[in-house]
Amino acid sequence: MAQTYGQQGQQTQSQEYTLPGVLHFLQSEWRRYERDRNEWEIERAEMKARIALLEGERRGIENMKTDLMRRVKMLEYASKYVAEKSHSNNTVSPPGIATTEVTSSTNVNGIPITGLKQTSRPVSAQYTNIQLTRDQKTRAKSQQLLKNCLQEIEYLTNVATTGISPIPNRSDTVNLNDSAQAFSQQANRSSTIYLGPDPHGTLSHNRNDSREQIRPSRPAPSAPSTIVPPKSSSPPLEQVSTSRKHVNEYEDNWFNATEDRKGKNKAETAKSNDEDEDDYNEEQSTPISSSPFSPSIDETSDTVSTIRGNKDGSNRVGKKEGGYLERGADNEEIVTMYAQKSFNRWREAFGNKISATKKPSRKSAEEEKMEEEQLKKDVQAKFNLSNEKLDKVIRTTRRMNSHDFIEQTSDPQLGELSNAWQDVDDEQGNQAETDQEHVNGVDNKLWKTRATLRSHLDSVRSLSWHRYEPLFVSGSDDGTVKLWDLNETLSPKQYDIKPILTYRGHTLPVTSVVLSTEQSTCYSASMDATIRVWKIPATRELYAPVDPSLNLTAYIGHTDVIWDLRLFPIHDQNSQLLASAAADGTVKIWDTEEVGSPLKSTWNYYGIGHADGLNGGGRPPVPTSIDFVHTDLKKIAVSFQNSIIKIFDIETGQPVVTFKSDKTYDGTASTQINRIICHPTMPQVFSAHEDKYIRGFDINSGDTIFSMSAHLDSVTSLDIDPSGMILISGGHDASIRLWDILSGQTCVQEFMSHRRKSDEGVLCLQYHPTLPWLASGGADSVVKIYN
Amino acid sequence: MSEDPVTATESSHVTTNELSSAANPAENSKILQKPLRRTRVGTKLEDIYPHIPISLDDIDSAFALQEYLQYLIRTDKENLDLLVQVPEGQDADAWQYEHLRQLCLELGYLVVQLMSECTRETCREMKTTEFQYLCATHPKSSCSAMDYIVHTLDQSISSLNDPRLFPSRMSIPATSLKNYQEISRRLYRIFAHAYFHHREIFEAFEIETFLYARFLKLSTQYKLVSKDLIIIAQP
Repeated sequence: MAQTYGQQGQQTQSQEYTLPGVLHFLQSEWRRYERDRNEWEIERAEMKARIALLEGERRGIENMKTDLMRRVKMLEYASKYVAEKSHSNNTVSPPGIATTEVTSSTNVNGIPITGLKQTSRPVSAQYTNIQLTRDQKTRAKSQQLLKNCLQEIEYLTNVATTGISPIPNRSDTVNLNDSAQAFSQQANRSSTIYLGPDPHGTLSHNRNDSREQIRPSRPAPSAPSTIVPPKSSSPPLEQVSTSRKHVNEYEDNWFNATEDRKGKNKAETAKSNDEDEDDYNEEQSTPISSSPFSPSIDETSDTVSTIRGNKDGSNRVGKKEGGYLERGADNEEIVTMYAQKSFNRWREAFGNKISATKKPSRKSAEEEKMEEEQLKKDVQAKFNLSNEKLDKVIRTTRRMNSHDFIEQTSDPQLGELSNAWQDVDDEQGNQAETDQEHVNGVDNKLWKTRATLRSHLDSVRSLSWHRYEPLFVSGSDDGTVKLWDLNETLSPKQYDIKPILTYRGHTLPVTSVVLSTEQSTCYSASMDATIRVWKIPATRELYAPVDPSLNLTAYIGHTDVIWDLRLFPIHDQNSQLLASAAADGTVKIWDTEEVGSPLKSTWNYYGIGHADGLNGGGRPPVPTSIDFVHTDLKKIAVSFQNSIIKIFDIETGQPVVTFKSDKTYDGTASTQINRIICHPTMPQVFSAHEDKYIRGFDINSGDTIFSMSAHLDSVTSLDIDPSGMILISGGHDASIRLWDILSGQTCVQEFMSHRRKSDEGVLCLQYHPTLPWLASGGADSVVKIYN
Repeated sequence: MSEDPVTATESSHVTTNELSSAANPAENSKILQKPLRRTRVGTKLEDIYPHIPISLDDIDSAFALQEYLQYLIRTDKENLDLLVQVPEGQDADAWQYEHLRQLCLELGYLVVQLMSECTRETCREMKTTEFQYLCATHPKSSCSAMDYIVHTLDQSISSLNDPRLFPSRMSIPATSLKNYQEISRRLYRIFAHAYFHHREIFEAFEIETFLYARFLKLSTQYKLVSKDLIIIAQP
């Protein structure tokens, strides 16, 4: 019964269908499917891109893993060996012999003998003194060194008899292969480790005893060579000759570098380098002086010396030394990693100088410590070793030593030398960076300045990308909003990039801009307390007739400077929320699709419905930044001048969670939060503080995830890479730093970007949501594009 | 700071500072270092530019002249002599360059005011008194006054920002100096148009900013605009 009834119902229904109606229905269905299909396609493409990214990342991590394994093996062997050696060796050799050995070895190493003897004499005298005051253990070690030295001499004399002249000979370089090049890079770099105290010459012997314990052997193969197994297959002649080649190349490098320095002209070096170096030169045309670098150098060498000095845990010493050995190993990547680090360190030192702060580069020290710790851990975790690897290590170490030695004796003007090396080091650091790029593929790519856009007349405070197109708007202290179209892809002629449109309407500086892709509009907030809405024209040509219709409307409601604007992440047909935070103490939510009265709600620090000063007396704290919580779209995060972050419910306007983000708040604006950003996929919010901190909070629990002093000056801007892996920050120290979110506080890259004006540096940063681009705006009125 | 007072007002600041330094040198050094000129997020409008006396020597930045000029304008925009006069020990060309940049910046605000009144309907052509001017960006076709104004301003800004013409803000290449006259001559027409066609806006803006007075002073002192082209009546 029920069935027939249903059938009847169907029949009557179907009778009501008309042909056009059905057609219409089918058409609309078809259209819907098509649209869905398109969306799926897009999604698929996105996923593919994501997969590629992750794959690349995996590869990178695997590479790193194998490196670490290798490192572990080498360290393990090295530490064992050192332990054995230190126990087995008891005899003491007279220091006189040592010195003669030293001189002879230098001779074979291809250095003019006359000069050498002179320099080695004072060293030997001191050496005896120190030797006398040393305990048994040290003697044993020195003994070991001397033995190795003798071995080395034997090899070298062998080589000499086979007809290779002791004078550096260019023809030797004919056989140069990749590994040799890699090595020479490495050697240059290793020089920085030891360079620090050199300017003090032999004085350092008295000054730094812990160094002394191993250092006296510096003219000969030094500390790391204790690991040379006495019965290991004697190094083939070829190896020794390569080491000499390196010497030559090294010296050549050095000469180049000094020449360049003298001429204050890096043209030559730049030629041999990639464009990165060019950029770099462009940015910092100031000639490199020795002063900014010396602090960080000293620091490095200090760590070296303490490591060396610590004899009690011989195991540990072995490990550490292994660490340096490892750097000497063939592995390009590690080398590059290190190069990058020293490069960064240098930059940091430079930055220090600029900002005239006298703090040592703390960051680099931290990095170093971190790496060491990791190293230790790894060593403890894993053991196994192949002899080939070890051989390699030993070889490279020996090469390293010979370089070390030359560095010590060959040139009297060590101060200048260190500079020259620094140049070489930088240079190769750059090269290494690109190498790394090639090796590691997509995930570890480094951002490089692609274009510098000049058109604003004052500090650029804000910028916002179009979601799909290479199009963005920028707002500046000059009161204008400019629309930039980079579609004509960035040509080498960077000068020609002009904004396609300048929106004029604000009567005071513009503080914040957002671009709504779906609405084809852009919103700008200004110190004049208004939000203006601009249309993005469909046709874009330079010097088009002025079109007043582009100026859509203005939202008036705030009574003081509006400092931040954010757009609701999702746009639907009927509503597009816009949030604003202003110095009048309020946060306002606007619905931009509402034509008549866009203002939806207003609340202050205490939530909706609390009049000023009700709760605490006096004006409530001023909001500084806002962001919609991407993982819970009913909520919005607001940071205040008192360094507190609160999560508000958008509908009710009441605070839901309050974070303990004010740990360093001291009651003044110099510790306030400048900007917050919510993670696109995880329930996390990150805050940039005026007192250099970046903090991360879990939105659900309210816990602090991390808190780090991230810049040399206030942190002003934050953004998160669309994949959610990288947090990028910009600060008044004019640098931009990239942080790995997963590992928390690892700095992936750092570069100086803008020049300072009015004690301000970088003011805004944003990743392109879909293209591999990054833009930053600074107090120097310039917008820079990176990719 | 004390050895080389740049200007009269500067020297008065110096003396007050010296007094305080005599009282408490430690505190004074803190004062000299501490007050940052930056604009922090969340600042109220009235506090945005703190009234801290700045001397040019104190500004340790590549944009010292710009900062100093903006500071002078903020503190006393009526003191035209002081504004236009090159600070001691500074390059006159660089000082003019900063003035021109600042002029373009502030002219933008005049344009904002003009937009309400000067439209394609009211001013079809760019005129001051009798001549019609054609826009340099598209010389073949005529355009409305507002188009002319905006295009001229945009073009002036882009040539001031062109690194080929002005590679550095510290020293200006001699070959680029002729651009000063060209830019000034065109910008003058904007003032002239506002004066002859939108007098109320011009005057209201002038009372607030003294922009035209400053521009006139600048262009006569450095001969940026020839005398016979100056058509706005002297007050």
